[in-house]
Amino acid sequence: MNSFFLGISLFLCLLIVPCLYRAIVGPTVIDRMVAVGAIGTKTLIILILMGFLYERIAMFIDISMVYAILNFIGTLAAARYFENKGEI
Amino acid sequence: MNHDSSTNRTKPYTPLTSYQPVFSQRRVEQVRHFTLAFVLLLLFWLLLSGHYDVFHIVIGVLCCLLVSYTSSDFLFVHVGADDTHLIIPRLLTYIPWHLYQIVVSNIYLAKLVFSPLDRLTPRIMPYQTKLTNGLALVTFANSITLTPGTITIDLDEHTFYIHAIDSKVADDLLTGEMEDRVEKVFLPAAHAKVRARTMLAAESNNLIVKTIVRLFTPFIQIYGLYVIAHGHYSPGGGFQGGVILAASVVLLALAFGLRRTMTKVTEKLTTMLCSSGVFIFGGLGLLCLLLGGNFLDYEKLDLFLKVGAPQSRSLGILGIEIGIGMAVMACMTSIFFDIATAGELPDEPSEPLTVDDCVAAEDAVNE
Repeated sequence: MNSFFLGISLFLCLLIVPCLYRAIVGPTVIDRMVAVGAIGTKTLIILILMGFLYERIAMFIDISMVYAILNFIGTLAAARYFENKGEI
Repeated sequence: MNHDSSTNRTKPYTPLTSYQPVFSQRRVEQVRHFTLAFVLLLLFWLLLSGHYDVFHIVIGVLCCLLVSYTSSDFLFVHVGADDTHLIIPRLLTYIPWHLYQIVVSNIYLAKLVFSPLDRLTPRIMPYQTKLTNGLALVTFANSITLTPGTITIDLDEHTFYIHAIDSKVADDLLTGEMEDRVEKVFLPAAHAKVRARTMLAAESNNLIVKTIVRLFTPFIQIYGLYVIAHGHYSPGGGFQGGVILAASVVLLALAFGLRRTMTKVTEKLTTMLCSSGVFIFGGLGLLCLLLGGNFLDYEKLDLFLKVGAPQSRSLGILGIEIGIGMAVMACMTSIFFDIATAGELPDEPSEPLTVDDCVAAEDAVNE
């Protein structure tokens, strides 16, 4: 089972690469924001899988929840910032 | 904040016959919302905590009371007290159906990804909705986004703008089955119809973000308090929990505007929290020093607590965590306020943030 989780984690890490490409190259701000959001979601899943691997799932769920909240706030703040042209 | 309850507590006992109008419908509803919020938050706390001894449950109850006192008006604004018990079971039957839809369209989309490119016919289409209730609109918008292949881009009065990846998913949506089901979930009780309609006008601006933030904030705050209170078992503690609490304030400011948030989390409050947090930290440390130990030598506190050295160490750490949490939360919040206002306080006082605007509008209509 461990190698299964490890495999999925590695696969998700690989999937981050195209998102990272879009985040760096992406011509518009919106592209970058969506890419960062997608990376955040993948990181969340990887964190939980890490929890399974280290058999400390309760701890990693806590961490991933904080990550989810901050990801949401970050996206919202960026969207607000660019919508209002520099004002929050 | 819940102004009525604070005035109520200081009031002498009044006999039943002299009940003021303030007490009637509105007051009953507030008490009901408070209780419901408390129960929901306590369930969430117990789910998070995993420690079911008396000590931790007492801390949980205190935290939940605090959060439902400050934030229960966020949780239940739209739903009249008469509808809540109807909507929750209906929602529980809607969710499995929606999960099934997600699985089905996921499989369809996976096939689409591996087929030739010309099968994709992305489009943006307007969708006239018959829903009027704010929560129903938000649920429907999020249901569309959660279903793979379709994304809600914007909600403008009664029109959704939806991005669909090909004609089949678009047609599936246009049959209106999902909308009918959502409508059924939020079907109000007969006499609550006026209420449902007036709400939309009051909050149509940024409805989705506002509703989601409103519903999330109490849970984020409970989570922050949980991180503070369980700092010595799991990752986290005063610093992290304080930052999470501050994040909930930032979230409110992003959704409802900085000025309106500052009417609820005032500078006075942040200053008070900050200094009393530092006071708790320094006070406990100096107390240990006075009792003959080192700074923050918690074992010396056993002189008062009388629970044994390891237990009083644990309690001492909890006290320190609470102090740090308060200070960090207040500091982060005021740093955010200072940066966002660029150091200038708002000139004119803003209308207070109670999210009760809809209820006020509704009362005006009823009169």
